[in-house]
Amino acid sequence: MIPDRNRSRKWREALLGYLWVLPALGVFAVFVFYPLGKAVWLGLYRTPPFPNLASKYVGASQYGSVLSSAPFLHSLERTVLFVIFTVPAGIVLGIALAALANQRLAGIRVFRTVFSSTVATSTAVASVIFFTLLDPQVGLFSYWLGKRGGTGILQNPTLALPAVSVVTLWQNIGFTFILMSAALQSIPDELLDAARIDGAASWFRFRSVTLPLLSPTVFFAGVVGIIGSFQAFGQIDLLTQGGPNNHTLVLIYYIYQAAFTNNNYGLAAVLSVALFLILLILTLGQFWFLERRVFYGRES
Amino acid sequence: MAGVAREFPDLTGEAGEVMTDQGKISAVALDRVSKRYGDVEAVCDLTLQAEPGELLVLLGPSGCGKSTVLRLIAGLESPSEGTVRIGTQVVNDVDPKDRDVAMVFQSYALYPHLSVRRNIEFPLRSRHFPSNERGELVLRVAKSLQIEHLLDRKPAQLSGGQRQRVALARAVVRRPAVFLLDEPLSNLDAQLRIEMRAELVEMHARLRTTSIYVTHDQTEAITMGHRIAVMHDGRLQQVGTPRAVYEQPANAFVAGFVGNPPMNILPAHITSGTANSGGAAGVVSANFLGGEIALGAEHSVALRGFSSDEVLAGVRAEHLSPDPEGTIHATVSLVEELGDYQQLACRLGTGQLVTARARSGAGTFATGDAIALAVVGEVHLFDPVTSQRIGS
Repeated sequence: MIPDRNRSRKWREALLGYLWVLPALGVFAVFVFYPLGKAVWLGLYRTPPFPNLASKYVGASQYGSVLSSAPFLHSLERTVLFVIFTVPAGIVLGIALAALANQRLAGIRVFRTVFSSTVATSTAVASVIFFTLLDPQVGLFSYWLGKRGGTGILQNPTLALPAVSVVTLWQNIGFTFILMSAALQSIPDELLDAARIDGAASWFRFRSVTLPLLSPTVFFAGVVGIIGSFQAFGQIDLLTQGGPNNHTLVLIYYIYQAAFTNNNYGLAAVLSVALFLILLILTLGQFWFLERRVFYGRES
Repeated sequence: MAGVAREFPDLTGEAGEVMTDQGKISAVALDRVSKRYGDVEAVCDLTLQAEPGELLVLLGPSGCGKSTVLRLIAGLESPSEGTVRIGTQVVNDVDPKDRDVAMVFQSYALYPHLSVRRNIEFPLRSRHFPSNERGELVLRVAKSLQIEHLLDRKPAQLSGGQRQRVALARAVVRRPAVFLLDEPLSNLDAQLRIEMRAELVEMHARLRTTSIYVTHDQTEAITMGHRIAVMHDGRLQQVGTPRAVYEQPANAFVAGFVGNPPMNILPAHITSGTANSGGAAGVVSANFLGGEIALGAEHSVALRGFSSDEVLAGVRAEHLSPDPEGTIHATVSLVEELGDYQQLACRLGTGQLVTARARSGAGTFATGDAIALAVVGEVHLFDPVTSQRIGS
């Protein structure tokens, strides 16, 4: 009798647990799992070149052909470059600004506010500001660089991607600054005092005490930054639309063009699945590799 | 200093510094030092000197400014006024790393991401000692503190006592001229604290490095210090040997703070023996704790210049004992059995609580007993207005 009663109570508890999880699971199912499954499914069908024709089932071959195609590899290269331009520089700048703003100086709060202010700026606003600054006719930057009237920076194939990266960097710096400031302030003063008495000059102190204790935050900022850069869309759309000559055609913008400009849902689906897998592998890899080099302060 | 590449000018005999086979030992002197944070005065007009090789204890309740004094000496704070001198040098504007001091923090401040070995090595590394010398020094200090088996662990894997030893090792590895210890034992359990106390004293005897030790624990101060400097509200109250501070407290605060249990300090009324109160000169009596007591003849001289008959009188517990002929009547409210004596918390008729001691042979007492107490030792008198000691 008693084991039976126990079992039925366990069942009821489990059932109740699933019931509580159900709403969240529902939301995930509708907005994440279903689209993901649908994308994988769509990738098995080739979209015909003309509208109103039925899609053709081609199986996994579309995955093979798209993922080895030159446009995909070009767009992947652009994306990787964009990540390299934005993420490490963003973290270094964030740490540098946070270290500066962590000084005990009169009026330092003004700087803290200024440094973190870009977090309140939307991608659209940031893009419009830089679009104006970089405009070849009226832009202040073009004027300063003596390029007034010539080819604009955003129209220059070599400079367009770095320019878009700078806008992204500028917009993200507020968030990174706040993260790094919080992390810096959580380092106990006594540790830095001890290092000062132990004879460490400021750079040695920063390198051997501050930086290792910031490593969990640097790791977090790295993961979030890479994912964010892989998904950066607004600034590309507003500043270059993937141009000039596809030089800023990052993966996410390639997907957008495939799906909504060319209505090639099959191609877009394959690219989306590829982006998902790349991010999944990158994130798992980061956790696996970096976590053993990051100090979390609870290694007992 | 065998094996340590440190070069000192020969300062033997120069004021404030002594050369030993262990290296340089410096005096530390604070001259009229004040430290203000906005309107708050953490340290006020402090003049204090630690002699070369001395273990000076800064004692006081939390918030009395003793840790600030240590930080001023270390160079982590700069004084608002006055000068700080280490050895012969005024160090007001000298960076902490150039002061040749080492500090042990209450929280130990071990670098959590570094192994024990790297923690101990840190002061050597930052001063660019060659690596073979570093290894040798770390091993030697680790052996002397019995932590050589922990060298490859991280601080999080150590017990409180082990962390304490690592912090000490990090401080002594470089043989600084001055040690600063900020409540280093207060995070340890009672048993370990007693053991570490002895070890610290032994270590000091071996190294003979000038040490300034901050604590709020008066037992620690009395047992460890060559001299004790008692602080309160940012001001120095008294400095002297543990015995002098215990036996002749400079004011009512010191009397109440130093000693366990604290001295019983209560108002008393001088009834005879002074110019004001009449009676035979030389015999001072006072109404104290509800009974009439005779004070020593020395108080007659001291009280001569004192205008009021109202004083604060202090009696240590060991000088207040049950005595059938005593004049102070009380009820026992708590009995502590402490081996060869009983410590009694007694409630007076006036509602005040005093602590008395009953030696073995004086009978045993239980809670609720009505007893009579007599003063069997020295009575300390303090000015009720200034709290300062009356007389020597």
